[in-house]
Amino acid sequence: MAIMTANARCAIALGLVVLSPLASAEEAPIGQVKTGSGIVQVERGPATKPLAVGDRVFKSDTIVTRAGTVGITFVDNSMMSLGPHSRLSLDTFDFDPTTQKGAFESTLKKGTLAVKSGQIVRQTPEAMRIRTPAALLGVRGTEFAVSVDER
Amino acid sequence: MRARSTLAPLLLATFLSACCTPPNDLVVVLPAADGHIGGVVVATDGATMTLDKAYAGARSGAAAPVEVAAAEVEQVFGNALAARPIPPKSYTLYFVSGSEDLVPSSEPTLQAMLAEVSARKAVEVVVTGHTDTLGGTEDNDSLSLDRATAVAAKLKDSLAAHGVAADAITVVGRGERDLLVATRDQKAEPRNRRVEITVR
Repeated sequence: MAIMTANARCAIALGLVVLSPLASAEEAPIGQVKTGSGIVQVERGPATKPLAVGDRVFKSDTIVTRAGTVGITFVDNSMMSLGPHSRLSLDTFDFDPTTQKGAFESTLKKGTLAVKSGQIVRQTPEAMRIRTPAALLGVRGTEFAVSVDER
Repeated sequence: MRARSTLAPLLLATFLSACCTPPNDLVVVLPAADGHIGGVVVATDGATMTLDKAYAGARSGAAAPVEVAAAEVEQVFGNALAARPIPPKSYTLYFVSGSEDLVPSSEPTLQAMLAEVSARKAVEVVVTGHTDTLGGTEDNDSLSLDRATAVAAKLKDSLAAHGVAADAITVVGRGERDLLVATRDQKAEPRNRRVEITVR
């Protein structure tokens, strides 16, 4: 028992040393595309790429649907799905899987979005926030949907 | 000149209808599969309202929550709702004390988990270790991570056989933060010493 604990500490210490350069070069994914249909794209930095089932998504991605839909499950088990002609930016995603503390902020600029909150909200109500052009939503833990007319 | 003067009001009307129709934004709470609705707080320039019942909605121009008909939810959100991922599903496994061997009663749970893995596309597996309250918080964090890591290593081959790549498996140690059975501190409780496998 004591030996396992010492090993774990050692592994954690090593992990930090080994992983931190990688983490800065390539950020960890925050979710994965689970459903998709039609034309769906991700704007990542200067690039726009098609987004398909199985692809990972990252903080700062903007998900854009045209004649298509997409469903994403995030690493805290929260879920989001977009209807056609929608635009969602994943602005902030911090999550500590041990404590389940974190923050998840996104912006729906247009279109339709269905949401089921996850562990971040279970640990800290309203730590999930969604902006729209007219409102700020604080999520206390629920399933809900948002539509935003194109301005 | 003449042409311009007749066109101008037309252009203005077109411009107005394109840009200045008030947006009809909508937020609506959906019925929860587990019955629990924590709610959504909607803050706009004008007001803050809390939506905490199924079909409670916030609509552009409305100062108070409105009830949204199920038919409108289907009409506006049908496509987004149809694209919802299958919710994650969790399986709890127990081990012979101090070993990595499953207790016999957990064997069917393991098989059910593998069947769920096979049934999904783009599947990820999260192996989460939990301890009881015996020992300190940090030690239990390490212990639970050790247990989860050992179980993930043990399951790696069968998960691979069911289509789960190594990079789709993550391990988490939750220590004593998520007790299945509530106990006082420093209490040995076998039901709390467990590993939870989440398929998502």
